[in-house]
Amino acid sequence: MRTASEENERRAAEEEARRFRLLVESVRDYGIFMLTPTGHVSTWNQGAARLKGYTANEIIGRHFSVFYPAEDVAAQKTERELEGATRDGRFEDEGWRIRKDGTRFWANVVITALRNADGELIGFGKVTRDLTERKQTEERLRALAAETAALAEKARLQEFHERFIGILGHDLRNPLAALDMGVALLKRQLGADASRARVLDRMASSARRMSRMIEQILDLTRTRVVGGFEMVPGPVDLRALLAAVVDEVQIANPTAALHLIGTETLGKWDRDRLEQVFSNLVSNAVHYGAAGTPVTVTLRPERDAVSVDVHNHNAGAPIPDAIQAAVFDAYRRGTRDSRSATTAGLGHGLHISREIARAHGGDIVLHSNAGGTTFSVRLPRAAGAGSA
Amino acid sequence: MTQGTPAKKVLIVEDEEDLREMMRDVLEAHGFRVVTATDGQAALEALAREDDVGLVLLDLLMPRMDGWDFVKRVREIGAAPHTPIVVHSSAPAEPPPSVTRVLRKPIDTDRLLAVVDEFVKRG
Repeated sequence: MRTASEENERRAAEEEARRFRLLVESVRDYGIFMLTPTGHVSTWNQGAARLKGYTANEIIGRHFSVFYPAEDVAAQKTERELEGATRDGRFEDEGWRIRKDGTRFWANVVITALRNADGELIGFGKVTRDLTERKQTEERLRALAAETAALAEKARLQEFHERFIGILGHDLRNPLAALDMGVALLKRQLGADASRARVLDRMASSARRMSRMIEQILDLTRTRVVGGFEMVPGPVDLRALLAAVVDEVQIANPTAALHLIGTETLGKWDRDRLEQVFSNLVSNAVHYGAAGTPVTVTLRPERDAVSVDVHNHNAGAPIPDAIQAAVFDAYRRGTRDSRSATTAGLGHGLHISREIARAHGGDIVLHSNAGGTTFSVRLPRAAGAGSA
Repeated sequence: MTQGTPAKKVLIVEDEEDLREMMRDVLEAHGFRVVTATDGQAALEALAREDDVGLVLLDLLMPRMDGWDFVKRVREIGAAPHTPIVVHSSAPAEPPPSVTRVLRKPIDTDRLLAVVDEFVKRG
């Protein structure tokens, strides 16, 4: 028999338990439910229903391993979690869980062992939170950090390449210039001693060859790494520029027959770079053409563009169609790698020339047949052309 | 040859010793009078000391005072206002404005002599 006051206490406790159950059931942001000591779901709240997609009817009585990915179940993760909670009173974990519809969410899970007054295990309380958004944010931040690091690395590499170019451009060329001048000076002082002069000529041509190779490496590095050539366009008479180039090649090759056809042709181009292109093409035409045959440079002005054909007679067979495109590739040369003073360089001249033409908005194409080999350079006249 | 006023001097400003001294040897062998400076600061001092510099051959990348600062300083203090400055450099950056000429490195003997002949008489 209970006294009246005991009865009141019991009612008050029941009322409190009912209200507490109501509170738990109505929580929407947390899945809060109980498991039997064997891990079967015994209560369910709105949050759990919302999070996992099961109604109370569907889930109560089922083992809580349905919430776990198959690989976790296979690895006996559920057993270990209950063991952990039983041993330590509490077990916390973050990981992927599975909804009723099979989709995954990233969950924070706390399992608490529930014991009666005698210390006997009567089940587990389980609180589950959906942290998918936080997880995604973390992953986005991680990706962002990785991207930032990659960009920094790229910038560092770029800076290294620019410094590398600086070293090549400045530090390597100066000693060569000194060498070149020294040879010239000695040659002048030596006078008519032909055998020694020959030695000095070899030294001079070696220094010049090295100098040209450095230029090519520099240009190649510019095209490949630093983002192309910087053009400095200005008013240029292409006819005058070609005449100067032809004269220069003529001096270097006194026996060559060079013809220039064309009249004054104005445009806006990078003078130094075009000199480099035509010097390369005309020298090539002389060196690879049939000995004793002429090299013809023909200037053809059009309305908005100009083209220049550099033509020679073939020393042997025409350049086969299959490799005509490849002659412009870096790291190859059309013929055997002879490294005489006249064909100096690393074999990147055509590649660099075409890059320069392209930087002007133009191009270089090659035609080779029984009638000879022609490199055609096409350059648009920049805006304001002809008004210079 | 040496009637009247003597020929003016060429001031070579170059930090790299081999190149600087080789340029001096070449120019002197061809009859030019030469003074040298190892950087922009030394070049300013040379201009203050020598009153008959007829041409400055200026490198750009140098320690202490580079070629750009040298030109700026020369213009500020109005030193040698009529002395041509020819830049010889492989620096990819823009040369200072108001210089007379730019010689792209590598410079060879012929181009060096041609440009010096243009501005200064052989002594």
